[in-house]
Amino acid sequence: MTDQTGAAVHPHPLWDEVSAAAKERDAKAMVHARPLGTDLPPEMDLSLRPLVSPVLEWTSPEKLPMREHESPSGLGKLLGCPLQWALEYHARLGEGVADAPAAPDVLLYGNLAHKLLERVLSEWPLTPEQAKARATTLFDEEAPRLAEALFLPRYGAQRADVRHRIIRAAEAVARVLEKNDATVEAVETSYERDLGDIKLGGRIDLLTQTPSLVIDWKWGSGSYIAHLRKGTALQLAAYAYLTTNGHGRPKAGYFSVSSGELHMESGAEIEHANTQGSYTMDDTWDAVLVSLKARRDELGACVVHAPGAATPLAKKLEDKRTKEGDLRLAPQCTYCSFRSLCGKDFVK
Amino acid sequence: MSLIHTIAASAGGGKTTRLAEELETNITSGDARPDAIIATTFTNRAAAELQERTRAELLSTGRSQDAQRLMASRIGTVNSVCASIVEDYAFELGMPPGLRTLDEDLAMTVLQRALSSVVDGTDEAELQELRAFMPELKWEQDVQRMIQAARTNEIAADALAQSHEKSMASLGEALGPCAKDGAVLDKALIKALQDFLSEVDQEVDNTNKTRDFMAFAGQALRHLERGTLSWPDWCKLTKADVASKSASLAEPIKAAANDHVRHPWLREHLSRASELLFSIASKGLVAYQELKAEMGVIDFVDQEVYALELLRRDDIRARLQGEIDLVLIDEFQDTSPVQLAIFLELAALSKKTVWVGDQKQAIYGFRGADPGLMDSAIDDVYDGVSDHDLVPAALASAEKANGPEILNNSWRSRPELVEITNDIFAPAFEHYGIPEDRTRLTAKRPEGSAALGPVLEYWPLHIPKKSKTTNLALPAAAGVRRLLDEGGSVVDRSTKKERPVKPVDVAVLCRTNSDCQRMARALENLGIRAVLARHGLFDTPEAKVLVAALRLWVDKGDSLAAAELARLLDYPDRPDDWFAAALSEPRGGAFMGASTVVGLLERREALSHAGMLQTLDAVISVVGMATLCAEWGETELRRANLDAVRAHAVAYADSCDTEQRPATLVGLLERFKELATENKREYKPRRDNQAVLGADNAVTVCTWHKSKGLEWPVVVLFGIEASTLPRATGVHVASDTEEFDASDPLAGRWVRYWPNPYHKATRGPVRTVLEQSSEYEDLLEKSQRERLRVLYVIWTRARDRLVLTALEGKLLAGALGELSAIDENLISEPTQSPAVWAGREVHLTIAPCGPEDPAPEAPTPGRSYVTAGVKDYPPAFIAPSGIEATGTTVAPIRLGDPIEVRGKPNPLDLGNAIHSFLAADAPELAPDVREGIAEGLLERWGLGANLDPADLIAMSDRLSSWIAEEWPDGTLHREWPLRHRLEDGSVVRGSLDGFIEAEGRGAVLDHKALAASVDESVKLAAEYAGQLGAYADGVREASDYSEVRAFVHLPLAGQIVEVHR
Repeated sequence: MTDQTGAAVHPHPLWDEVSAAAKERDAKAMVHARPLGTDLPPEMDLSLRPLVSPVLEWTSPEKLPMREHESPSGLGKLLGCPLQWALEYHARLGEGVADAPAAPDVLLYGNLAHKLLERVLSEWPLTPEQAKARATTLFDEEAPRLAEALFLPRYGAQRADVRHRIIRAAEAVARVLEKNDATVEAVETSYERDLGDIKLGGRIDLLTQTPSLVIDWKWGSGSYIAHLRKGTALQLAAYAYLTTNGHGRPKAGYFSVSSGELHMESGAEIEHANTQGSYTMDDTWDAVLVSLKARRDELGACVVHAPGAATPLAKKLEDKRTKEGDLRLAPQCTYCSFRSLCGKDFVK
Repeated sequence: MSLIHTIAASAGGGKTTRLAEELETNITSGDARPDAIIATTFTNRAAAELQERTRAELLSTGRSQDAQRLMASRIGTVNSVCASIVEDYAFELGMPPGLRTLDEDLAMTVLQRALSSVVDGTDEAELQELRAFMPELKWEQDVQRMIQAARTNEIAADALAQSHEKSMASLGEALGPCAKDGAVLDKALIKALQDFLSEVDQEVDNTNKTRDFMAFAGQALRHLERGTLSWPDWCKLTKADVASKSASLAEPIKAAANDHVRHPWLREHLSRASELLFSIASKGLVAYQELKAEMGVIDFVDQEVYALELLRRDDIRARLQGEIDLVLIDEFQDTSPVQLAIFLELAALSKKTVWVGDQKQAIYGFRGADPGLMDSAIDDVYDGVSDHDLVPAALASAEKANGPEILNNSWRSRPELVEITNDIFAPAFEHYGIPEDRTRLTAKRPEGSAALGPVLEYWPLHIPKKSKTTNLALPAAAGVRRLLDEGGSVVDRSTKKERPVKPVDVAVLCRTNSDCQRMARALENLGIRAVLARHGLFDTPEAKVLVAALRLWVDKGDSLAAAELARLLDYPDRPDDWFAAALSEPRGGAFMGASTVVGLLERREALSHAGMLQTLDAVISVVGMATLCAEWGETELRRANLDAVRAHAVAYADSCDTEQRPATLVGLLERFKELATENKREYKPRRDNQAVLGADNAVTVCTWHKSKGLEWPVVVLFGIEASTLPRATGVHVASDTEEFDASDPLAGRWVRYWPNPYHKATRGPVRTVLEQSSEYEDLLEKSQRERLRVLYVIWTRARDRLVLTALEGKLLAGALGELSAIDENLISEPTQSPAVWAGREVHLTIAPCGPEDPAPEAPTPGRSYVTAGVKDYPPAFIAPSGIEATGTTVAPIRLGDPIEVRGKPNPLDLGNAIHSFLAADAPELAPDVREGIAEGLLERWGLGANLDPADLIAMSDRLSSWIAEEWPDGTLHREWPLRHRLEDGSVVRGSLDGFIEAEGRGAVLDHKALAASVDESVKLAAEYAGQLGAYADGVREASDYSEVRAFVHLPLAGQIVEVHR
């Protein structure tokens, strides 16, 4: 017998007395049976109700159009998991207030870093020391407002860690710019450019001149370095495409806030930065266009794929490039809210 | 000091029976009063079993008084016994009685809060600087471990500084000589990196491996030049992972990087990290205690520490003296240092003390138990020492000379298995100083028929080369499937007769919790149910539906929740129809009309003020979860899962209560999310275990450690080929005392902390050097002993058959290797039967296993009752003013002229003033007193400009006149309280404005200060028929009046109106 939390409880204060008596006497004689619950409604036979199972390929009732204005992250969803794209941007399914994140996580750290680095770099020019000092002041003044959860009493360790990393990142970015004699041209600025019959638009974290660089802040580094090495850094390639002008295309890279390191595409010889892999953003963008066409053709045929639906969440999906140059981005299932809908949550 | 009687009980030696006997004998002989007994066991279940057995025995011999008194004994886990002592003497500790105890999760939250409060700006700056060089410095975890170690070893906060000094002295010695100038080492590495980067010919070596290393080398060079190269990066350079074409060029890098063990900055960083963390731990320890005191809570460690403090106080000892007749300690080999100190104090207070245990089964070292300490204590108690007076008289007795009582009969296992176990393990434990006679058992069970088969099996596990998996649980599960299909025999524990093996007879014992999860999944794939709390409660359809419904309840705009409910309930096998519906109306519009959603939202309106648990139950009911569970098949499990979800909700409510914060539905949803998420940072796995159903058709899967004290007919050992080694770095408890002192078992203990400059899993030069230290040798030896003990525990769980599994060819790679390391003849990997182990022929079945294809699923629906639906209960209490019913009126009686109200006063204030006066006034009062009351009331209600005191007096006078006229024998009771239970159980309660009590009849009276015209007022009076009717009913039921009438008194209109319902 258990209580309502499932913990075992003693069956009855007199249980030992009863069981001791049962040993001595004929236990059967002690048992008096009578029907229980005769006033209950009759039991009924039920038919089996089907359970949701994973569905890899979906059919839309009519062909799904592209959005007039598409963002790099939307493009990433379309290429990675068209179903996610359709449910988010066409069906517009969204979570309610109960899903507000309680504990600080990397998403919160990333957002905070974006806001603080924007503020620091908008005051350019700065020496690395000045950037560090400014980031320190801004963190102490602004972070309690921008990242309230991080300031709850039990998250002191995370707070100290995030503070350290953001301040170090501000100093490191300033050092890279200083070493390369670069100047800040734009911080957190929106850009838009035609992409066939749609417009592609996005906010660029940092754009510099001489050298011309487009840099995207990321909290971590591992997966982004892998994107650069595999030539699958779609978001970065999109930013490079958006900021290409008459003077050419800027070199693109990810700046990892948590490690304080800048990781650039192949061919970018930048002081105090790491060049990763052998792909340029042109290579990546070409593959994106091939892949985009393939996905649009599928949408035109009312076919919507959910490529991660049948794979258990614990199993990591990898980006791939096909021989035809098609970029098969891994669907971002880990943070996807639609896993019950595609059936992934029920993969055995 | 009482005599400490020790009983060495090997596995299967009938310990529980012996313990119950000990209790019963002592009670029956009168040596121990039942309510003067303290007995500690390892689990609550064992405590309940011990108490139950003893009580049953006492009751069956007619000693019902003793059985009753035994309920007042302290029998439980060490923690629960300590908690009862602390509760009894809470005042003496300066604490409130009824202290709440934090569970482990909540205690961790409070500790984190305390730590956050003590890390100041200087600490943070220092941490930042250190983290640049030791990015993996997990200070929070290490500090928590330091605090835990300090608390469980009675090391005071202010003594932690000494622990730092001792730690660094020992670390310096272990690391060896330090270079004088770190810059020289840096320069050597800079040169090696520069040479490498300039010499690698990318035309010749264009491999990704070398390119990636070059990127890293460039990055490392920059850091080195700035003096910021971290120690994990130094370590990574010692491995210089490049393609073979460039391998020779990387050698100088490896050599230069390897030198960082001698780097003076490394020593400085390690020392600073140690000093800082010990300082935070010291402050944190104090802050944690203060915070708990502020919250009025204690944790599990406090229970023991405070109990020890109490037991050492003279005033408490004086009160306990003569109150304890018998102290019985079970599983004493897994005792922590503080617990040992408690047991020794109890021994000093008790007339008799019995310790029962088995040195060979001490396996909880990782939880703070100290087998080394226990070994010393056991030796001390057994052999006696001359330099302390802990057990002066007792140990001089026969006990000391004869050693412990040994339970050397085995009632558990088949004779052949007992003999094999004796021959293998007796020499192994002898090697560690445990005499053979404490290991060897005499088998008392009959051998059984040939149908039982060999006592031992070996399943070499095979994974095909082309297979993508390396999961050894798959072939092992296939072995279990085969074992069940072949249908060998076992001996039924109850009937003692042989019968075919069933899943319930089999236990698969796994090394880790993750192995258990893998094994349960592998078994389930083959159609075998496992008795194991598996993760993923919130991934089940039943929990998904419930959570989605709760989310919709919280926020009806949660379109995702509505879409999920529709997908799971209405479109599970019509995904494209669901998709079309989702696209047809954005934001889940198409799903808002679904019957479940509509039902939920309607109920939500009706129960808008419901509490968290009430809402949860309402949602379960509205959605029809019980029927859904039956319709999906596996009914029992799914319904048990719902219970598990509800149990989490109850636990959440309890934790909110302890933390003194409100339990809300949003908070509950957050808790669910937290439970279903692995917290890698805090090394917390998912905690959303699915329900466990024990049944004949389920195989038990549990960890090696959890198997302690249990037994099964067939035991399959999984994971024995895995080898684990201790780590030299991190937090360890050390002792300065050479000799164990039982009078002060915690003397000389300190916390040794060697910070790890790398990631915890990285092997590097520092770790290699530290593993040469004497401290590590000591750790290694302790862990070897512990591995042997664990092996003994799991080996002896089998009654009829023991199955060893291992990756083929690797049987001796792990725990069994410990045996062959002691003596290579003890055991070997068998290739044929019989094998020769420990000099004897061992017949065993060798049955290789490979993975098998999963069995197809075929769920069948369960049965269910027709859903009764939500039942509305009548309210517990009803205020008569809330009863609405219009009745009829009899022609009004005129009491006088209407009284004019000047201006437009607040009607409520007006009503209150008139009611108050009519309640307070009595015609027999002196006129000036009445006027004073009226004036005061009008003033206090702000009505001085609207009414005169004379108006109030007139209202009262004419009412009194009417009563005197109509009820000459009547008495008016004012503000008369009344409670009346209606037929449906609701209680009507309120106060009558007036009740006229007369001979055989009565009347209820209600004043209504309606500032309307006379006609309007009379008309409105009919609307109060419900309220007055309820009052009249109450009076009728409580009295024997032949008549109870109801009147509405309209003082402003000067009317009185009789009403009927």
